[in-house]
Formats: sequence, C-alpha cells, structure tokens
Amino acid sequence: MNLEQLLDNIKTSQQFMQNVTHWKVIPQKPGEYEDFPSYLSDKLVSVLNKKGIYRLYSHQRQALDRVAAGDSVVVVTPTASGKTLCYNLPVLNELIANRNARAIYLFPTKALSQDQVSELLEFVDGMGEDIKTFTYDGDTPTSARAAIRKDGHIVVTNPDMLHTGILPHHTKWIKLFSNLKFIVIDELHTYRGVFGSHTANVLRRLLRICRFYGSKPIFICSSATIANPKELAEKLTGQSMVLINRNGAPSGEKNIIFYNPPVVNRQLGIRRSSILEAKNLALIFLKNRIQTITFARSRLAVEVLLTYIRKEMKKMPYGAETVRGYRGGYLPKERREIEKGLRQGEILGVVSTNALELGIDIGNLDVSIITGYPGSISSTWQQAGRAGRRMAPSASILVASSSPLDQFIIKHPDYFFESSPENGLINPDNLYILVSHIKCAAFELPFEDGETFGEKRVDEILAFLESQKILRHVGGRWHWMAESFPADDISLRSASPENFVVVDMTEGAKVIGEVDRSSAPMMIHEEAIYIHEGQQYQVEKLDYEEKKAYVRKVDVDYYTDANLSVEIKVLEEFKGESEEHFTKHMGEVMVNSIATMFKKIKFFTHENVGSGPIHLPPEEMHTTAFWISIPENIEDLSKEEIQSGLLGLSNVMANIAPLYLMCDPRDIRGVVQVKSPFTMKPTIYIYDNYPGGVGFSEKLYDISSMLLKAARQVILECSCEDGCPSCVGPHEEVGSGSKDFALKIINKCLG
Amino acid sequence: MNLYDKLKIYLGRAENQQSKPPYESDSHGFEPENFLHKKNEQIEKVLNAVPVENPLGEHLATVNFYEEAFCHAGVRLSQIFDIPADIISLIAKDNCYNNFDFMKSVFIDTETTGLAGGSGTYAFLIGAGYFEGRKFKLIQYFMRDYDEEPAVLHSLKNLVKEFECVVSFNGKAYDIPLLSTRFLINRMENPLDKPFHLDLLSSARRLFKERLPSLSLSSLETNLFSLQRKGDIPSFEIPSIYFRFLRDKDPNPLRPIFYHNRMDVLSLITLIIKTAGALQDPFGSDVCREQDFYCLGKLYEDMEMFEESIKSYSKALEIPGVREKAYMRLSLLYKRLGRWNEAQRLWMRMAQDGIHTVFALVELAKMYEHKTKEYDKAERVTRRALEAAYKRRGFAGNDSEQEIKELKKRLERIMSKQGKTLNNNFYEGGY
Repeated sequence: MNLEQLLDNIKTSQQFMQNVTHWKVIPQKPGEYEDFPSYLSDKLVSVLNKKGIYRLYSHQRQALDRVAAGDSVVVVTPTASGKTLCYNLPVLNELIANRNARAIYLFPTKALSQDQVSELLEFVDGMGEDIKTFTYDGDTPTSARAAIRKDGHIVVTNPDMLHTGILPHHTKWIKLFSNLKFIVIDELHTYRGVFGSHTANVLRRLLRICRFYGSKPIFICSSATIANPKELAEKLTGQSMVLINRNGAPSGEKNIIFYNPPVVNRQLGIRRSSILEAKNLALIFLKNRIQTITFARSRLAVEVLLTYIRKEMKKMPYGAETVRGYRGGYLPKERREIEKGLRQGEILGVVSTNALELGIDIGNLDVSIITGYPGSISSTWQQAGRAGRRMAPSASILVASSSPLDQFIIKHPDYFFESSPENGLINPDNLYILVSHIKCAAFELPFEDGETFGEKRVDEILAFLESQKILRHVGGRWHWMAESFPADDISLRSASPENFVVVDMTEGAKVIGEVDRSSAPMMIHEEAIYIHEGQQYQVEKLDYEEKKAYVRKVDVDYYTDANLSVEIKVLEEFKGESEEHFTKHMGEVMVNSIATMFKKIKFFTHENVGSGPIHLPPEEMHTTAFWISIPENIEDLSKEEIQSGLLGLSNVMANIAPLYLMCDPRDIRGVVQVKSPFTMKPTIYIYDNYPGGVGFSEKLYDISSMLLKAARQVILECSCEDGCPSCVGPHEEVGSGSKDFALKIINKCLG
Repeated sequence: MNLYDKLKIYLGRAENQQSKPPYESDSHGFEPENFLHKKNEQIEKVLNAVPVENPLGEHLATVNFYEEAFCHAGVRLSQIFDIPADIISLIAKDNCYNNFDFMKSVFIDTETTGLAGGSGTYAFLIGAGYFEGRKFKLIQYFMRDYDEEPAVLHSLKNLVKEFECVVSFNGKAYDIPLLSTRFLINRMENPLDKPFHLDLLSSARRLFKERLPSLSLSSLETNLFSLQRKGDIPSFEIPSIYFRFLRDKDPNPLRPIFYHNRMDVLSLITLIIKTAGALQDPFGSDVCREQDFYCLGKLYEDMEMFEESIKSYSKALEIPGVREKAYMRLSLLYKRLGRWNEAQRLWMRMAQDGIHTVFALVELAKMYEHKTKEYDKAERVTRRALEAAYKRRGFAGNDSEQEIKELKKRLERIMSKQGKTLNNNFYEGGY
C-alpha cells in the first residue's frame, strides 16, 4: 500500500481512531518562484543549473536582494526549504567578485559545521573557484590553524571557539577581521536562554573587534519557526534585521495526527507507554516500505525503540538493517553514511534524537513519528517537517506521553495549530554574563572612557572590575591587569562558572556531565540517583569543595527526589500593575535554598520506598522573578487551604510556562508564600533558575492572565481524582483538595 | 540600589575576598604634583633608570655597557665574533644563516603581564641588546604604567629598525608574536618582521632534548655553563610583582626583575658561544655528551654533513636511551648513501640483539629481494620477521595486525618470485 491508501485505511480503524485527538490536513501548496537576479555570477548560475535549479524560491531571491542592498536579514522557513542557499548565494557571489572578502559561519554544534563545509565545498569545486572554506574548532589540528587564519575565506566555527579560540587572539586574524563582510548564524532559534545570552555578548565582542579593524559585517541569520525571530535576531546581534518569512518552497499535502495512548491507570493518570505505541505506529509504515523517521526524546529511548523495531523488521524480507539509529555519540563517519542512505532511499527507517531536527541534510521522508512532545511547538514543527515531499503527501504523528505538557498539547490541538510558537528569549544584560564578557572584551582590547558595549554604558562595571584588581584605569583606558586568560573560565553553556562535574567511577574515572551549582543539592547529593542518557548512576561521594560528584552505574527501580526548602526575598521591584483581581510584579530576588532530605520513589507506582538526610550548605542565588499576589479572602478557604491551592497552582504554572518560553521545565521554579513579607498577601513566585535571569520572568509578566487561564484549563481537564503529576502534583505533596482550592484561587483572580 | 553596589554584592565575594574599596590605593591623580614627582625620582633611582621622551610619550629606560673583556658565566661576550659562519648555520639549522652577522643582530627578551598569551598580555619590560664594536650595550625599556606602552614601543621600534636579525630564546613562539600584537593593537607598524630570527630554544632543543630533562633557559644555564644567578626571581612571580608595583609604585621589588631580564639577554650570547664551541669540536668539547650525540647525528644528517653524522650516530650506538634510535637512523643513513655492506651489518646486529627486530629484518628482506636478488635469504628473513611480529602482537594491538598483513604480502611475493606458493594458515596455526 502507498501512504495515501494506508492513511485511508487507518482512518477507518476504530482501534486507532479512538486514540486520535486531532487529525489535521494541510493542503498542498504550490511553489513561488523568482528568476535569478542579474547580479548573480554566471558561475554560480551554472553550478545551480547543474544541480537542477533553474530559478529560486521567492524567499531565496528576497534574501539575496536584501543582502545586496546591505541589510542584515533573518530568514525563517521550515525544514528543507532551501534555506542554506539564502546565505551561501550572497556570500559566494561576493567572494567571486571580491576575493579579499571574508565570512564567518556560526553553527551551534561542531557536527553541523562539518555538514556545511561539505556542501560549500561542492559549490566551490563546481565553480572551479579558489575560495577556501575551513572549519575552525577544537578539532582543527594546530598545524592547519595558521593557514586557516591567513587564507580562509569562509571560516566555519561555533560560538565557543569564537569566544576562547579566536577573539582573544584577534591579532592573528587581521585578514579576517579587516575584511569581514558576512556573519552567518544558522539555527538562530538554538541561541536562547543562557547560551543565547552568552552568544549575544560574544557577538558584541566580535563587533567591537571588527570596529577596531574597520569592518562592518552584515548578518545573515536563519531560524526555525519561532514566535519572535526578528526580536531574537536583533537582540542577539544588536543590529536591526529584515525579516524574511514567506516561504516560497512548494509542499505536498501534510497530515498531522495527534495521538494519545489510552489510559491504563486512571487514579495515577498513567497511560500506555508512548514508546511502545510509537513502535507499533512506525511498523505500520515501515512494513509497507514507507520511509519513516521516529523521534525519541533521549538517547536511551532511541536505542530501545530501535531494538524493538528491528526485532519486528527481521521478519520482513528486506530485513532489520534498513532501519538505523541516529544520535549524538555515533561516529561522524557512521552518521554521514546514514544521512546518505536516507537521501538515496536505501535506508527505510531511522530512529533519532532531536539531533536530526537541526539542519542536517537527509532529504525528505514520508512519515515522521514524534514520541513525546519535544518540549516546544517550534521543535515539533521541525520534527514534523522531516516528513514532507515537495509533491506527494506526508504524515506526522505526535504520540503523547503522560507528562503535563504532553497532555495539555494533545488535548488542545487548537493551541498547537493556532497560537504562534514559543518565544526565543535571551537576556544579554544578565549581570553575571555581561560582566564575564566585559572581562573578556577588556582582555581583547582596552576599553576607552565612555565606550559602550552593545548599547550599554559600562563605566560602573569597569570601575567595579578595577576595585577587584582585574582592570587598571589609566590614561583614559581600562587595561587588563591579571595573569589569567578570562575566556577559559567562562563556559557559554552555563550561567555561572561554578559547575559541578559528574565523574563516573564505574570503569576508571570518566567525566560524564556537569550540573549547575544551583541544581547540585537536588541532583547530586550523596545517594542521589543521577540519570544521564537514560543510564542510572548513584552518587557515591560529593566533594563540595572541589565541585565533583563521584558516581557509579546502577540499575534500580526508583529515582530520588530531594526536598528543597526555598526562601525568596524581593530585592527590588522593576515593575508591577493590577490585573483583574490580582497584582503582578517583576523584579529582582534573592533565592535561598537548602536541601534537607531526599526520598526514594519507585518508578510507575510512585511509592515512597525510603529516604535519607542531605547535609549541604544553603545556596544563594540572585535572579529575576515574576510574582502574582492574590486577595487574602478567597471564598471560605482557610489559610492551610490557600497554602495547598497556591502550591498546586504554582506547580501547574511552572509546568506549563514552557509552552510560552521555549525553555526546559527545570529552567524555572515556583515558590509560594501565604503571606509574603513583601506584598503582605498570598503570593506565587516563578523565578528564572539561573543567576541573573535570562528573560523568562519578564515574558511571564506580560502573559500572566493567559498563563492563569491555561492553568485553569489544565486543572479542569485533568481526569485524576485528587491531584496528579499531570496537573497540580500528587496530593501527598500538595495536600488533599489542592485541585479544588487552586481552581477557586484562579477564578477569584480572573474575576 | 545602584549598579556598582549591586555588583559588589553579587560578584564581589566570588571575585576577590580581600578586595579593598575602589579608588583607595593608587594613582588616580589625587596625589599632589610634587609627591608624584618625588615618587618618580625614587623609581628612577632604585631602578637606575632615566626617563625617555618621544613623540608618543614618556617611559623609563636603563642602559648597561659590557666591555669587550666582560665575562658572563665565565665566557667572554666578544668571543661571539670568533664563531665561523658555517657553525652559525648549524646552530640555526639553516644554510641561509652563513652570512649571519652578530653586529646586525638585536638580542631580545621580554617580561610580560602573563604567561598565557593572547591580546591582553603586555610586555612591560623589554630588554634589547646589541654590539657596538666589541662592546655590548643592553637597553631595557620599561613602562611605569599601561599608558606608557606606546612610548616604549616607539623607542623599541626606533632601535630595532636598524637591525637585520633577531636573537631570542623562544622568541618565535612567544616574545615576537606578543610584541607584534602590541604594535598592532597600538596601531603601529611592526618593526620585528625580520629576515633572520635565531631562536636559541629551537637550537637547544635540537641538540640537548635527549639528555636534559628541561630545556628552559635556567636549566641550560645550570647544565651547560653552570651559571648561578644572584638575586634572581622565578618567572612565574613576575606578573604579580609588576601588578603590585602599578598599585603601590614601590620600585624595590622590581629590581630582581630587571636583573632577571638582563641575565636572560646576556645568557643568549653565552648560549650561542657554548653551542658553537660544541659544534666546532663535538667530540672534544665537554658540552656535548652522551645522548647529545644522537641529536648531533640528526642535525648533521639534516644538514647533509654525512661523515660527521655517521661519526655521531656511531658514538650514540653505545648510549642507553638513544641506542635503538641511533641504530635505526644510522642504518637508514647507510642505505641512503648506498653503503649496503655497512647497512647490512647493522641490520644483522639489530636482528640479533633484538633492536627494532622487525624493522631490521624487513630492511634486510628488501635488500635481498630488490638489491642483491637473493630470494632465499629474503624469504628466510621475512619469515623471521613474521615470527617476531606474531610474538609481539599480544601487546602491540592494531599496528601489528597491519604489520603482519604487510609481511604476509611480502612473503607471498618473494615466494612467487621463486615459484613457490604460501600456505596462508601455516603461521596462524603456529602462533
């Protein structure tokens, strides 16, 4: 059966359709084309012709025209709409005319850089032009580096390398910085939160260096669909941007199916495993020789799914080998081989983590199955976009897990299809991050009095750094006055330099991960079960001074949950106003948290099977928070009942906030106070779980009513009896009746 | 809360526990004029320095003359002019240096604000020496604060533009790129892009790396010319002393740094003379010893001085640590020169004594197969090589799998030249 027949078949299956909460058909769309512009080099045109391209999609042409006019652009189009041409064409066209020009390509990961270089090389070879493209990252051999610095026309790298390897040595890159014409930033949407806030500052440093050498590069950004691409790009680069978001690529009919596995335990709100369901669905298509990609959320889940699927496929004549796994940790050679196999159709199925969500070229497949909501609308569209032929129909199936976010989405398809995707949020002026990069910038070039960084005046920060004996102010300039190399101490992937390292002692000592300081007491206290890539480890020893946790592989049927007692103190309110019957605020807080004990909780049943004390000092964190204060008198609720309702409500709010923020659930935390010393009223705080904050609370402040309404919906629609992890939290934690109390609070607030 | 206070609360502790309040310590122009003046006088006196003015500002400089008879570490500096041109080429391992003229050389060493490199590292003290006739003149350029950097660089530029060559210790990797960066950041033309740069670290590494555990200048001083410095300071303490001076302007702790820097420059000369002495009479002088002969052999070989190379390698054959390498190198050198008998003799001895056995046997096999066409002998040594390779497989891993594969191929070819065929499983079964 072909896909169309198969889908017709499925539609008539009662057993399948009873789990489908929504089936959306997006009709096919013809392409919008434009001719090559007259200024496009003949050489490029002939290479394009050889690739079978005789005209451009409208968005590609638009990008070319705007860049030619000197504008910085951000191109937002779906997966596989030819977005790489949007930057490769302008850059190569310039280089053909002006061989002195230089370009930097930034990718968030090394794997993506490699992919890009091979595509660019194909172009360059096809033209027979001497345009040198190199990747410059941690893997680049020392012997090759000097030549790249001198001769590379296009340098492909990542923000981390720019930060530690290129900017602090800018004098070795005179050619590049003096002639820098383009900065290409692909996968713009990945630059959010802490990483985005750091990268914004790295770009401020980059532009500062460019100013020194007299160049003024244009930015060409490309992004997956997010709510605020222009805003994010402008905040990230500090430049005004032209948004190009009208996709000219054609697409065939698309079926998007929301699938909710049936409930197997109503009281605990547990549904049938999304992995097993995904396996069954994938096999329907694979057995009909329809090319299918199955996404899973963790590396472990990928391996499990792959094993299941292959076992079944062995029975088929074309065998298990036509289904492959794909995730980080596979060797690059193996990955290239899988990518090629997919493009050429030799590989029928692939099971992947979100590694294949980014712009790796695997061609277009027929079906994508998404096991568990990927965490954001944006990612979901990216993963769904992997299925989609230009001419023929395709299908994507989202299989929900039991988590609150999954259940919300699967029951609210309208929300998914109609609201815009999440906001990519960054806060380049996070004080911790900003100060770190001002140090790096002062190392690179002394600051002059009155100089700005980004748009910001930095005199006070410079004076502070002088008081810390890091800078010296003399002759109107601020000079670096320390022996250290500041970039080495600053990781772009975390807010504070004080991460704990997790060392696996199972076979020798191997570092397997890092944990933010603020999460350490919860995640890696002694005896904690630390889960990394689906493998369980038990923490044997936590060396708090040295910031190291020593763990060993274990296989147990429980996880650990630490009780964190959190106190929050408002330091300064930035803004506040009254809504219907509550007030909302946003400002700076100090969070004081101490982990006192942990519980061992059995998988699936959530039984408490043991506990133990935690002996760790309290952690202090300055960050930004959003808070709402509610009236003291809510119907007839007692103080205890209000407490329980607040707790439940804060859990729901923190759980569903990622719907709007494009963040991980643990990036934010909720705390409640029945009588806040600051507002004197019952108050729910939701704070950014990063020192200094990365912009989440500010956004939540803007959408507080929306958030409350969504929370009400979640509680109303949850089928559990008295609270479960899918809504207000288990009643052992929030108290009996929390669901009801929380609803009363919301109703009062919203009037 | 203003930003400054906030920063102090948020970041202050983490950054520096005992930090003082801002503006407390130093030179923000609050001090009265004559006080500053006195302080400057004191600095000049203690450091024995004079202020220098140029279009880019002011800085301090010290000047020291070393007369013709002056000896550093027991070596007369002017002996440098007795070194023959071919020896200088050997020191540089480059025949382009045979016109090298020490009169046209500037000897440079810098003291910097950090050892990590990168554009935030400054050279606050630069020692530059050169010969005026037979006298050696050593100037030290010093910046009393960061704002004197342009003036220091300007003076340095005026000096070095007169010279054709730079002599340094590790200057190719460190001092010169660092100074080039300083010139660039100050938007000044870089005068250090010279046609010749004699970097003595490379020379010393070539000659002494097998024998000496460290090739730092101080290790070379101790081992090659037993210099004992008096009142010196370890390099790693230098940046923090300079930073302290910037804050308190007390010049006394700087004196050892100035001394250190002068010693470093003078040792450049002594090091050249000592190295030259060794190369002029490698087997007679006491500078070259033991493992050095292997290094010497390699140097001569690279410079195509084959007789000297053979002599050096031959000496190294007896010396533990380099013995195996020397055998291998020397045998290959004989082969390269077509001295097959000598090569063969070495290979046979290697095979017998277990020195790179497989290598030696393969070389013999190649010779028998291609040179003397003695296929039976070729077969015999190849089989022995294969045997040795199998024995080694246990602890050599993948490399030896590859080796075995190649040996089998060789054996097959040699046998087919004799009209035989190889039973592939024969050896697999045996081991």
